[in-house]
Amino acid sequence: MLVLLLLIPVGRWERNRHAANELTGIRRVLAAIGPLDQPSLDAYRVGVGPAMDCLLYKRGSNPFALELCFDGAGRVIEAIDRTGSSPRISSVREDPSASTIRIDLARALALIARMKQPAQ
Amino acid sequence: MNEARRTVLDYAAAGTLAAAVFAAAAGSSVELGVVSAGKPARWVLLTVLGAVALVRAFSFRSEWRLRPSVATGLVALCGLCVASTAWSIVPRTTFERAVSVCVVVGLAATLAGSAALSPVTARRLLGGLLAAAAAIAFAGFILWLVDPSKAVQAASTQYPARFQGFEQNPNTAAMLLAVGMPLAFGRALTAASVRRAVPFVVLLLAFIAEIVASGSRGGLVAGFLALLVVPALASASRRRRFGIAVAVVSTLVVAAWVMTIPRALPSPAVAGPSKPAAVSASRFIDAETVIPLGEEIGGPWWTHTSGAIHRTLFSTSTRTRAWRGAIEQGFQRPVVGYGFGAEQPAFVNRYYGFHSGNPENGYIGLFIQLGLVGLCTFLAAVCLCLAPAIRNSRRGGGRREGWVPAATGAASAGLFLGVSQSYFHAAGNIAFLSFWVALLLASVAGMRAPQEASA
Repeated sequence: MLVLLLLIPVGRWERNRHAANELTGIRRVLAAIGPLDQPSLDAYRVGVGPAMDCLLYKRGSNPFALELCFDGAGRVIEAIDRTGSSPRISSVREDPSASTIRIDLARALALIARMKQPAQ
Repeated sequence: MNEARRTVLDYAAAGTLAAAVFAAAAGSSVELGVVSAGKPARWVLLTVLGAVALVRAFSFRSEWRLRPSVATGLVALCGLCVASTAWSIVPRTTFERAVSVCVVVGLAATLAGSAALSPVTARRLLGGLLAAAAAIAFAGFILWLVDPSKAVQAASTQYPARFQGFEQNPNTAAMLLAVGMPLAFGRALTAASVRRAVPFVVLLLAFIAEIVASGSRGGLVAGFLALLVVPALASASRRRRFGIAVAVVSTLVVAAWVMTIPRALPSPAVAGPSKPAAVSASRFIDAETVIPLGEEIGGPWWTHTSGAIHRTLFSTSTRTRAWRGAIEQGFQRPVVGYGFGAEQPAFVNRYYGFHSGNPENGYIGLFIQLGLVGLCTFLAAVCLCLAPAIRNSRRGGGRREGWVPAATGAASAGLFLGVSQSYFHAAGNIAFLSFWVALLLASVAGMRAPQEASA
């Protein structure tokens, strides 16, 4: 019983450490992207995973180099860096409430709406 | 009077056990009407089984035994499952799953304890499990005769047509049949005459035939490896054991070859990774049509291949990719994991060609849920249960307790199934109850009444 009780703080410490590591990775991708609305914005996703929307940014010839996914509350819960030979994924998708990173949801949704419109 | 009461309670327990296992299978049936009846029925039947098990244990409480080491292992495992609610990513699910698993494991321990000093009770309980497997095999066969389109999953470019019988998935019934294989084999080996062994041999062959038709590689391997456990622990000469093992391995080779005969549909011509330009009228790309998040790792966008998947008997690349990813995910919270029952939300399927919401490996699943502490606790509990059965067989106890090799084989089948199926956390799974009952029956092998032990 004592051992089980001792495991509770260990489990909570692990949970917090994991979330902190993933959020660091998400911040790194956010910093690499810069402002959300910029010419390199190249692709989007709507309603994937646990109701996430995503914005994807081009780097060089790679149209999906940097990706940012957020939920309906504007929390950034996943970021992917595809500039290397394999994807570097930072995610708190399994526990969105752990995300402390927010974006302007209205602006992000407006960007997606604009991208979905047919070309003029 | 006492014997008559024991017989009635034993058969009540074995019958309810068979019904509970069948109800678990019905809860995942291909027939929607059966599912809606099976899902609630399995919990009702588990409750009835619990009541019967308690009455049986209380009525003959002086005979009830469970080794302290086994009880300690089970309490530690169940305690960890419940405690993980405190750090789980889905606390409510964790608590519910932990309680349901603990109740079923407790129920299995109650039944097994009643069989500690009563080999006939153990045989009856194992007979109940065997009857449930036979009923599922029979139900699948009948459904195939009546409506083959429901009993067979149509061929695709990845898979040939696969027999799924009564279940929603070809791998589901195969799990229970794999557990049933050593039970049928054990009864055949210990039968008093060849004539009495024949029905069990027929049953064993029927199980093998349905597993082969299902194309379930995990079920086939688990069932045959478990068959090898039975003669290894049975009281027979070394020569006879060797002969049986050779026959088992030869049958496995033939069965595996037969499994390769049906072919998947030919792949349509693929010109390579899809092109963004073909996606929409907008100049922007819906990335999900080119590089889906659920198929990113190993997908054609990264590998620059057509992405066509040809499944063969030995191909495991898709699954091992998912396993590698799941282990990496587990190592992000390696000590005590994401919480019991949190395997599905924690495991994100990003693997090309892998179509499952969990890693399809019970041990990796436990690692994700409860970390290294949980995986080691589970393995320790299993070893504490199996050790007495193995020890008992080495000492020649198999002559007195002919049911022990069959119980150990069935428990082994459950452990082998864990390599290809994730079910150790799901109390309602088709194989869960059978696995724990067989495992805990194996744990009471070799127990003696005090006067018997001193004699």
